[in-house]
This record gives sequence, structure tokens and C-alpha cells, in this order.
Amino acid sequence: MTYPTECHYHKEHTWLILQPNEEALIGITFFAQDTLGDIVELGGPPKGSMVSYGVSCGTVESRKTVSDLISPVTGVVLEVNEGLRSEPFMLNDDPYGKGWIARIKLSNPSEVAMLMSAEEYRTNIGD
Amino acid sequence: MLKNSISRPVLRNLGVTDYLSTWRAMQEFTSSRNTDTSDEIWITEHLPVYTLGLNRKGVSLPLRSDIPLVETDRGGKITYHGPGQVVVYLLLDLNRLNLAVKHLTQCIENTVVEVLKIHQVEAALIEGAPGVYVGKKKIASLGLRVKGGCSYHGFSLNVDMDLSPFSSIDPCGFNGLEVTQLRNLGVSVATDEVSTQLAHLCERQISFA
Repeated sequence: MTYPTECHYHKEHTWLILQPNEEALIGITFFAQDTLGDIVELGGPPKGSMVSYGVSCGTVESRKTVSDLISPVTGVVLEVNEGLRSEPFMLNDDPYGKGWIARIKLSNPSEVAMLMSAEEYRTNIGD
Repeated sequence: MLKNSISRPVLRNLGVTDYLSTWRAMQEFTSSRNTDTSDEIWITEHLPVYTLGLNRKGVSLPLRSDIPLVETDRGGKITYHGPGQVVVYLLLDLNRLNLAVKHLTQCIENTVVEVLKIHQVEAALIEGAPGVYVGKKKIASLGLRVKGGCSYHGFSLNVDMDLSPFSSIDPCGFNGLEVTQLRNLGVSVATDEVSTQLAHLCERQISFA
């Protein structure tokens, strides 16, 4: 199990990495992809859409199961990872790298304080 | 939490139902449940209906206009439900059961394989094609939705039904996939008997997963 310390974690198994200019990348955690199994399709938030902290912003389909994608933060989607359209398995293979889901312009950067550190998240999932 | 401290799932036999009302009831149950709500296993047979999952990539729609098509919110592609097919819905709190989504689908497949074994039918799983097969023909399908860590939808097993509506679709998106049922394999059994076996063995699979 890998949980990079530069990530901030939401209890619904998504992560956020802060970027310059009040932006952030979001994705799903190692735990999420591991419990879901092979991911075949991402129904992520479209570019230009608004996502909200703790609210579903899309779906992840693994083997015959559709689960909600919970946004770890509030903001506007500036960019989506187009590569996941043809290579959804990157969500399994590289959840914090090539499996990033979206780049978000944060509406309220102080919201990040509500997220967990890697250590807290590991405790939360019983790792 | 110890698994044996969780109350056993409540088993409900709904009889023959129409798809839409049962789907809505599952959504309602899942959105209103809390951490104390008992898990439930629902058994039903549906009136004829095609259902389309959220993954619509490459799905060809049926040409038949006499059977309604419902766009639903489960995983998987297109399938058919009709009388004589047992449908089992699993309304489970996966976090409380400490059950990973990928293990739930394995529990479902194992359950069907075990029930078929009771009827002397040797079934197989095919890598990359979820479901349960006898020879190369599909006999059981699955599709699930997880919201807030709780599952709904489930799986179906063909027992004694009119299989012809399957020929208008590519079940689960696999071109030319043939389907079969217990009756065609020489097993004469009531749907009620099969559904009870499925529900009980599934409950056992889940609690020992």
C-alpha cells in the first residue's frame, strides 16, 4: 500500500495534490483501486463543471460494479486526464501519477485543511 | 468489528415484479439506510425487460419493440430479464461487512457455481468476462452499484424461461455470446427452490469472504 505524503486524503478514498495558483490535482487512492479491482471505465467530471467537497462528481466502473467518485474539494474542473479514456487501467497501475483524474481550480483553498494526512488516512483504512 | 456480531441479512421474496419499481425501491432503501440498517437480500423475477448499464460503450440496442428498455445505473452493459429467471439483489453495507467490491463479485460467481453444482451442472468462470458459464454459454449475469459504501443491484440466473429475447442483444456487450438455462441442461427445478439456494449460499459466501 502506498500513500504519498504530498497528498491530502478524503475518507471516501480520493486524494488531492496542491499545485501553484490555487489549483490541485485529484484522483483515487491506492486503497480505492485495490478494493475495486480492475477499472474498465471512468465517468469523471467534465471540463468546466463544478465539483463539491464530499459530493459525487462521477463514477468509476470496475468489474461489473459502478461506484461513486467523491470529490475531495470544491472548485471548477480546468482539465481532465484524457489518457484515462483509452487507458482506464492507469487508475490501477499508477493512481497518483498517470491515473490523475482532474485538475481543479479551488474555490476555497482553506477547505484542504479538512482532508487527512497520509498517516491519518492509513489509520482510517486500517493499513 | 467481528463479522458474527453483524445481524444476518433479511431475506425478502418479492415474487414477480416490474423492473422500474424494484429498482426505485432499491435506490430508496440504499439512500435511506444508516449504519444500523440490516442488510437485505431480495429475490424476484421480472416481467420482460431489457436493462442497460452505465457502460454503454459499443452496446447495440435490441431491435424488438415489444419489450421495454430501461437505462439503469448498475455496472455492466445490456441484459434481459424475464419470468423464469431468478434475480437476486444484494443490499449490503460493504464497509460494515469489510467486503471489497472485487470480492463481492467473486462471492456472487462462487455462489452460482455452487448452486449449479447442487444440480449436477459443472460451471466455469471465464477470465475477462464476468458471469458464470456452462461450456461457452452464459447462464448467470451480474451488475452492481455501490453508493456510500452500500451495494444494490445483484445477479440473475436463467432457470426456465424464454431465452429468445437474448438473441436480439449481445449480452453484456460480447458479440455473439450464447446463453443457456437450467432447463436446457436437463434440470427441471422450480425457480423458488433455486432462489432459496442462491440466497442462502450467497449469504454464506459473504459472511466468510
